[in-house]
Amino acid sequence: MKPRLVWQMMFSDGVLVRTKRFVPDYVYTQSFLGMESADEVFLLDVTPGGRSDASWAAMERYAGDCFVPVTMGGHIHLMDDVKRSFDIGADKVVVGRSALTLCDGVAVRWGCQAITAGVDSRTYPGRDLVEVVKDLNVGEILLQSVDRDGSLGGYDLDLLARVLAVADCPVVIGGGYGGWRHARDAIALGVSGCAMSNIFHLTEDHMAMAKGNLKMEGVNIREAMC
Amino acid sequence: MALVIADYGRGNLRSLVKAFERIGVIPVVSGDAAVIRDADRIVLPGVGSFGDCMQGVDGLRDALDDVVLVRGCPFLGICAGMQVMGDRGFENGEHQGLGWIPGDVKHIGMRMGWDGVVCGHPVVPSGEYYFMHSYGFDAGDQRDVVGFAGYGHAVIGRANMIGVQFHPEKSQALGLRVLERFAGWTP
Repeated sequence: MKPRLVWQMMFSDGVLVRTKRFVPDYVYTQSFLGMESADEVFLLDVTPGGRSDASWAAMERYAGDCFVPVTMGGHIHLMDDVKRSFDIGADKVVVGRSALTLCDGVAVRWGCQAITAGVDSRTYPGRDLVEVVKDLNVGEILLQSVDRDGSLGGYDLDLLARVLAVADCPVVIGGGYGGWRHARDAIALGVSGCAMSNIFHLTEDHMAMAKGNLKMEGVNIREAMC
Repeated sequence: MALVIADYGRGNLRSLVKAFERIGVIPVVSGDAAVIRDADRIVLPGVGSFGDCMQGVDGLRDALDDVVLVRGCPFLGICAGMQVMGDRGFENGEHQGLGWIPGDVKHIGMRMGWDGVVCGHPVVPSGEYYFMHSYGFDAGDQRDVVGFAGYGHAVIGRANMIGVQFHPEKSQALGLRVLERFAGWTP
């Protein structure tokens, strides 16, 4: 399969934001050049303190025009949150610590491929992240590095390697993407997808350019759409 | 011309409905056997397992046999909706399928993402499509395999029936083209 370049958008109270360590940082106006080239889209609500109606509305709008898979998440703890996500257009949901309690219920109603486990260093306090992911009945794992989010300094490849060694399902890495070489290095380890977010707020390095560079290096990635 | 999406109460049909609307087709979405029986063409979506899909489809079986096998109307099976066209599925036990195209559905490991499909069928152009599945169709008769991906039999078809393992509604422009071609297909 071709590794995916995933456009991850963070919403705080309905506004698309750049984040630093997953905390809303700045609001930018940006163009969506290259969105067609995204292999997949993640829409995450990072509103401090909990779910925001404005974020639900914003995510529904963005999902409405999207014909690649849309994964929605952020503050999902109950089956009602899951159901509402699918009702507004999600193809998958990404769930943090509540994945442990929700994954079986989601699997029965929508199939286990419909739930992605979102995992970062804070998700399971006191437990080894690598140990927990082994037992999750989910379609894929979204492994995020909190420390690197917003840094543009590259993914946490050590953590990625440790998770890839034990995960039964595909793994998407996030947190720290700053350029196409970061995707190249993660793909070389065997990752199924590279999530990128803040890059689009700060530079002109968009999806199509990243794909062009990756292809020139021989990485088997889906064609850019422009 | 009534294109009916069979709704058996599982999964999320919203993406599929939206995709048809984008290409100018207003689908009828129904789980009612009478509505299905009256269709001009049928789409059977599927999420979840073979067994889940068949549990929902079982009550519509007579209507589907009538529209597809007797009247010969075009049929498109998507993902688990393609898998149940076969004889048996082995996810969470052994389950009987519709038995329309010989083959069994077996575990192959979770596949999530884009893959290239080579296909010679008028409804499905060769190209890259999005797959989300951990079980795959193993056709019993090579003549029923009309499209391949690296892992195996991605597109099966016979006469007025076609089944795709990938999700055309999640495969951007090329996927929309599949739906468009199916909507206008005269087998």
